[in-house]
Amino acid sequence: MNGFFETGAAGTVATWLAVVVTLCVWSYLVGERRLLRISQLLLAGLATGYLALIAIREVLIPQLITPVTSSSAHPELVVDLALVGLLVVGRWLPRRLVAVPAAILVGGTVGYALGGAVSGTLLPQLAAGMIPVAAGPGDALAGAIGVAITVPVLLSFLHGVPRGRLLSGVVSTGRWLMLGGIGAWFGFLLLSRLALLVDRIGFLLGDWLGLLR
Amino acid sequence: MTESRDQQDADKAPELPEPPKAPEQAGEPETIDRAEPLETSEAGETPPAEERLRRGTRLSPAVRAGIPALALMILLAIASFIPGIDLTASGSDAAAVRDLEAVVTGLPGGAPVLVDMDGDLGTYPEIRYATRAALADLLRQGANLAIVSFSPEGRAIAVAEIARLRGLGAGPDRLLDLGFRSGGEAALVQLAGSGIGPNPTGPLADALRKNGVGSFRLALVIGGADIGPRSWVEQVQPRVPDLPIAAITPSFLLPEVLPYRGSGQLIALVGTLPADLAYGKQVAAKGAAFGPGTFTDRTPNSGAIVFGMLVAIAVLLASSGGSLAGWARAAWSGARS
Repeated sequence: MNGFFETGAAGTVATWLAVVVTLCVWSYLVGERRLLRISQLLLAGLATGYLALIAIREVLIPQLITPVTSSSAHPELVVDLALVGLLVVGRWLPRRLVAVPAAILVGGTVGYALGGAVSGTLLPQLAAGMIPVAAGPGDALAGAIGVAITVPVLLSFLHGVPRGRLLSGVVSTGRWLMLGGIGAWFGFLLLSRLALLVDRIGFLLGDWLGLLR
Repeated sequence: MTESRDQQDADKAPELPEPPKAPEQAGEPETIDRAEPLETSEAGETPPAEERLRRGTRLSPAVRAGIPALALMILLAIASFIPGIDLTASGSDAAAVRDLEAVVTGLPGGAPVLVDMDGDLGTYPEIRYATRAALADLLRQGANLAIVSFSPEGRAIAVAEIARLRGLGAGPDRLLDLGFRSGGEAALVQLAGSGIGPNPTGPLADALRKNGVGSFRLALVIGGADIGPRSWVEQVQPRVPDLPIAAITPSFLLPEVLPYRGSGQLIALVGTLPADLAYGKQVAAKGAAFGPGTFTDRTPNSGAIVFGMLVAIAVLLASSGGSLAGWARAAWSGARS
């Protein structure tokens, strides 16, 4: 059981609907495009409706409309509302006016991301990467391997810099190491997608046909 | 009246990828007619079935091109019934399972746990087994769960999981829905700074509101591509350093989050299929008979996954083995000369 559908008539209908849509999507493998197109449109429509619903019910009303209209309204929310309004009708407004909320949006996002990357990732990882004085031979070897991989990969991002023979070799090694890393990541991604396919087959065999326990 | 270009674009049907082609078509230029399979004939044209018979084949090229994929799915379905194939957790996988189990069993009864449900619909099936095992284990341990999401996909999954747990008997005193928080990483910062906010109601919400996020004993992050352990480590941990973070992630996030486990910023990380399976089986073996701690999910099918990976490797070797060998020969002869 995938556990998403209840038992009873509603669950049975939901299971059959899921089966039909799954088979519609897979019909593309035998060249049937119309059923796939219907499924795609269904997905696009449902996703749009879901996003609109979640934006209205869980964001706009509880976090903006209700506080603004309540007696204890915060004045800053009125400014927020004005900025949101500017973005919504931005297509018909002068570019310089729309640039204000857009700049706040981009600046805030970048500020959070950059600050978090430095304080949460860069500094702690640098600290964790330093080999303590009392480290054993295993830690020292792991640290040396880490340096031996990190330095060539970082150097491989050099472009347009005059290189000597040694540097060219290191850069080439770095690129191959990076390709190896991307290959490993691709393997992980393949496993994730394969698990998705096997889960869908398990849904058909187990939840629908009842052949799997 | 002349329509604007935007309107014309909006009126068009969405573009579809071309259906798979037969190998002999690969080098030919594409036409719209060729891309339409199972087409209907018009007056004066040769009917498609007759045309195919005249060519000596009964299947359209699109159907023939789809046969390998169909064969793979049939073989995967057959492999689902093969018993005895298991993905065993050893080494780092076994250690990851021990870490998460130790974190859960170390929680006192009634400990509030913040669960961030932000998986993707495309990767959640891989971690669903371990996620449900962790939720069941936490509830069996007596923890109170507050579930929050920062991505729309994660919210959809969270709604389904909350409904499932409610159906198993988790009441509002044990399970609190903190809803969807918009804004991505900015929303994480807001959660870390101002806690669960005024909207959640109930006794659990009142208790959690007093001390903010610091009242949680653990944050369990069910990660996805948008929001995952990295976001938590970068945005929440610097602001709430006493909150331990554990994570369950799909395999493809491992290269990104493994360093956080190595540095101790994550106290537990389950991110591979063998670890997922091993952890779920351990929780199932604990055997809560009923209630929200019940865990009877069907295990992901190891046989089919192993078979699929073998097929993938075979396809990879068959498609690129020749060129790799040629490249190696050229490199070898270049080095000798």
